[in-house]
Amino acid sequence: MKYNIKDADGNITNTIVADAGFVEANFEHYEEWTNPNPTPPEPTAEETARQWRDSELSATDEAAKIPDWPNRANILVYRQDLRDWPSTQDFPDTKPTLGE
Amino acid sequence: MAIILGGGGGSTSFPTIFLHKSQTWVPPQDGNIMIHVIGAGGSGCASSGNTTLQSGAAGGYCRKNSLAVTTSGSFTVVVGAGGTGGTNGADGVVGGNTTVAGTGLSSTLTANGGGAGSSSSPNYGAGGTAANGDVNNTGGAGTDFGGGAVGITGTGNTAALGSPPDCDVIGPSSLMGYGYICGESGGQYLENETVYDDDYGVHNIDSATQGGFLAGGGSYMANGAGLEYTIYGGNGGIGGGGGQSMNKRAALYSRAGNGGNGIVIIQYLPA
Repeated sequence: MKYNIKDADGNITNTIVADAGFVEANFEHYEEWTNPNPTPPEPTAEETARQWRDSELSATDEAAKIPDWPNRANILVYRQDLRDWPSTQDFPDTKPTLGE
Repeated sequence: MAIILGGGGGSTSFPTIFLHKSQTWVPPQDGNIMIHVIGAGGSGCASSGNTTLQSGAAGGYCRKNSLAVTTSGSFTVVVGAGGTGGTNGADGVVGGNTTVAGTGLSSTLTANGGGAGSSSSPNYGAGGTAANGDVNNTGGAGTDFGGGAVGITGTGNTAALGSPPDCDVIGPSSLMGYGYICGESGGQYLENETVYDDDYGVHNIDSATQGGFLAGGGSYMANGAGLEYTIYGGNGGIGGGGGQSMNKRAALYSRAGNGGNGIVIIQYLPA
């Protein structure tokens, strides 16, 4: 457990790791610690999907720039599918796939 | 709670005792002891902006070289809590102070907590100071690249690009004893790091690495395209500062590393 130790005016003077019994026996003013920085929200399915989409686009950047890259035609189609994906009904559950 | 290790070489006559939380400590045997007091680390700042933000600093290090104790003595040990990492653009939190007072000590051994990373100037977390020991070292400050480390031989290390915030004395914990303590390596700084995963292809690592014992956590800088999921600065090890996190694209998805809690280490010494 963590406790905020306070002075007589209620100002926090220290934050310590302790059991309740130790704090009660040794300090006059204290309070149980609460996290001042709440846990950030978990990403939504849409956010996770966009992150994956962005990563896929980033990973195929080089292929899109080099004319003789293997399977380049399909990669270009795949990249366009990735860009269009958020505006389709497949988003975010069904990911675009790269043709062979 | 106290964790007891046999002294170097496996001796049980000269144990090393780790006190991780506040308590009244009574020596389990008569003898001479060395007391190491380490303040808690401050936490880093989290942001989405372009401002340079900083990591948390390490706690101070205070050492009493030798004190004669008996089983009739007692000590009040207060262990500082590490700061909780800033989230969603928030500043970090300072580390708590660790103190030891009791039989045979003329003044309270004090290792103050490390400062927090902040979005306002000065935005670095200043290292925790120490007082009333035979050795009083200031913790390493926080930087862009990671939290500060505890300094055993002098002021603690700070992180730089390519140089993690290691403890200044690194070694296996099995060697701790007879007045010798050591720490571990600091967390690595990351910037737009990517990895390959069979299921999801290339994607970003979402957390900088954590600091080892007495070392600082690494920072994470999502500096380019940015990320729409949470990135994490690395937590500090015991006494170490937490790494900052900066996600330039999404303020909601940035969480800095926590500072490590403080600790008191007591080692029995040969006569």
